[in-house]
Amino acid sequence: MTDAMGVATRALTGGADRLIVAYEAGNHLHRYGARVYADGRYEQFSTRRASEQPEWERYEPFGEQAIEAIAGAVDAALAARLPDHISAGDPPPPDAATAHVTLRDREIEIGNWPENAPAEIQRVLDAIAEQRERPPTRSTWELWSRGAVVALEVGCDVGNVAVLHALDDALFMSAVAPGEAPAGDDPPQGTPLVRVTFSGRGGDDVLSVFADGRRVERAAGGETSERRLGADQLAAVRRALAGTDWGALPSRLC
Amino acid sequence: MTTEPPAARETEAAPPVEQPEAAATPAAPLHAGIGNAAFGQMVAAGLVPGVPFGAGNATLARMLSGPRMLSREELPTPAELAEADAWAADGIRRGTDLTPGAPGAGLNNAPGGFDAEYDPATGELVVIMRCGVEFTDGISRAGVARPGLQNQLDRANAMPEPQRRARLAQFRWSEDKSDAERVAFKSGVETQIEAFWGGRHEFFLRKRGWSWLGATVRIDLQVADKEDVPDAHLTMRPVKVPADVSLGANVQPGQLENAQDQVMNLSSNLNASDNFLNHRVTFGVNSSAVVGAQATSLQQVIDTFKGAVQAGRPGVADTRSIQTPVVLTGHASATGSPEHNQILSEQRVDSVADFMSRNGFVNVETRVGGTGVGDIEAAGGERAEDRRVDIVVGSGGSQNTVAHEFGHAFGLGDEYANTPLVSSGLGRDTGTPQMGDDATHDTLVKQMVDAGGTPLAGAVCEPTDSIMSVGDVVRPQHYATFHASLTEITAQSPWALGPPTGRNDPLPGGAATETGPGDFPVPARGEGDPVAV
Repeated sequence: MTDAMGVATRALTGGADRLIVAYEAGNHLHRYGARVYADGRYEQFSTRRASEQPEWERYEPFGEQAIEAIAGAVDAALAARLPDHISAGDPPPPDAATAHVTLRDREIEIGNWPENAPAEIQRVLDAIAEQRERPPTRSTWELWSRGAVVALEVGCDVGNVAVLHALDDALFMSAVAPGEAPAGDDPPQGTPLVRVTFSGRGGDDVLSVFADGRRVERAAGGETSERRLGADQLAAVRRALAGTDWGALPSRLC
Repeated sequence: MTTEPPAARETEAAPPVEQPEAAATPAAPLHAGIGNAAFGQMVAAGLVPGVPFGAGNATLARMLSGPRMLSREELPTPAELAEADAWAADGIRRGTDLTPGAPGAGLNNAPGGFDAEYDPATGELVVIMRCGVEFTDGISRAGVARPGLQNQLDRANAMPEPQRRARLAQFRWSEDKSDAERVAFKSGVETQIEAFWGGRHEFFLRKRGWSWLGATVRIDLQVADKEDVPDAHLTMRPVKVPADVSLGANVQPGQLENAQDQVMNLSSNLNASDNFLNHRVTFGVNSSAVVGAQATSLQQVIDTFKGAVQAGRPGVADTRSIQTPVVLTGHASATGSPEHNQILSEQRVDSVADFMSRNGFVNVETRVGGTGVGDIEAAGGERAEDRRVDIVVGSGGSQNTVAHEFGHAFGLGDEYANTPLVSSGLGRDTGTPQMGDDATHDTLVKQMVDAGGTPLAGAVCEPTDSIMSVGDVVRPQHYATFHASLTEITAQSPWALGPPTGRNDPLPGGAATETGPGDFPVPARGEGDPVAV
């Protein structure tokens, strides 16, 4: 629930419904917030302006350990005896955002958010974010490189593998820098330039890009979708492939 | 240097001078027949016989008003003209690292930071702002979300990996400087802001013999990657988000005397906008009563847009208040006869206006107007949405977030205020102005004069359709820091609002002119104008 100020109000009983932490932040252009309950419930909202009532949306609940970690950060912030109000500054900057943070039964107003957020509050938000981290998806990258297919295993998130960044961007970014493709070294028909197999809980998702520009996705459930890459995007894939001697890399990148 | 005429002339009994153009013009009957606005457009197009292309306000006014007498004191002397000529011949005046907003006071003071050049030969003030862009990922490659984007990260994490990667990629800038999105952002800022903020108003030097010197305003943004602009006035940190994600924006103004330490936090979406100016009230079947939740809703509109009032005088508008007009359009559903629905839609307009009048809206008689349109826009059947009054405040336009933030970068403060529909419940200590507060550029605005030499009233905080409030209108007061810069770099004053006069013209606003302040043509309010009541 919110009052006219868009500030969280609590009509909560004890026990599992107990609020551990909530925050609402923003200015007249944009507001957002999140709240976490002792029973693991996790809700967030994002709205364009303060006068709109937040539409809290439920997300995958936290497990017991996650709640313990978040509650620990909240209790540490409470122990720091932060002031009830933290000024936006003198003078406050234009269009400064303001946050109302609730730590169990304490409310703290913070002007010029997030710049003025105390470290203890930031650690609470970090704790929430850390508990939301998705376990890495293992993937296999089969790359046409210098006349042969090179297979590379990736056991961590692709974002953590620097050598794959250019190829990752070429495959997944919607806009790429224009540029020429290196001279062709195309695989035989039916062999993709790139095939990435992501091993998820529900099965494998497979993405293939062919030399003729076809980009084919086969979902774990068997559904297949196909589209054509633009010339710039296909050229970016080719440049990313040509930019590294993939065969010289260890077969497991992480 | 003095602008005063020689003392002897002040006591001289000057013989009257007849204006040469006045007697012969054939334009007056045409003007009388078609009105100011159409006449002005024809003049601009060079279509009016006997009126020179580009004729100024003063010339036109004289031509339209017929023969009249001027005293010699109103006309420039050869010495004054020679002095202005000599000054103009000295060429371009420049100022670097100006912080014209620094003298402002109160909440949210932004000094601004830019260079400026004035060229007497072209009559142009160029405001030059170098902007260095630090492209900022909304969600990093390592999976860390910027404030306000955790929900987007959580949503993406629930997707299958290929879709997740594609979604998260939309929150990242390419590392390649020639990337299309990076290039488009930089050129988009230049194009959008230069067009939005430039050319809205102009100045002339309101000194006898000098008033032919004008200053149109051109904005020259030079936007490049931050590392390529070491002396940037403004650091822009666009956070990359997809078009369907909104994110706030603000300016960190830095030190008052430092023109190169401003930081603008914004989203990558240059089209991000918000509309605060369009509202509606709905009614029961065959009813024009404003009741229940609709009354609450209308009261919020009233309390937001009623306008600032004078301290201790409720109902009396602050002299600086924009007094934004409100247009009401009444509708009826398709059931019932068209005649009855027309009457009903008009009754609904009257009912809303009456409610506003009884519940605190300031100057309803002069600000609120409207009409009923019956059921002509009804979708058919008995639909609640058809039983309504649309409420359009001022221009009704959406505010482009980046355009507003650049107002701060030019040194202007906020003009909105804590009201039910804007920053509700937030106090001054959070940086939110309150209704009736001085805008930080209030003192600069008061140093501006209109074409007739009358100082502007100032700038007050209140939700309106102004760009520094919650709308999209660039008013003369929003050129306050450009005006201050022009005054500083030319060491001349007063630069008045309006177009320059002809070289030998008297100053506008005196006995010789009939037009008021502002640019010609002054639009005539026609019959049926919905603002007029």
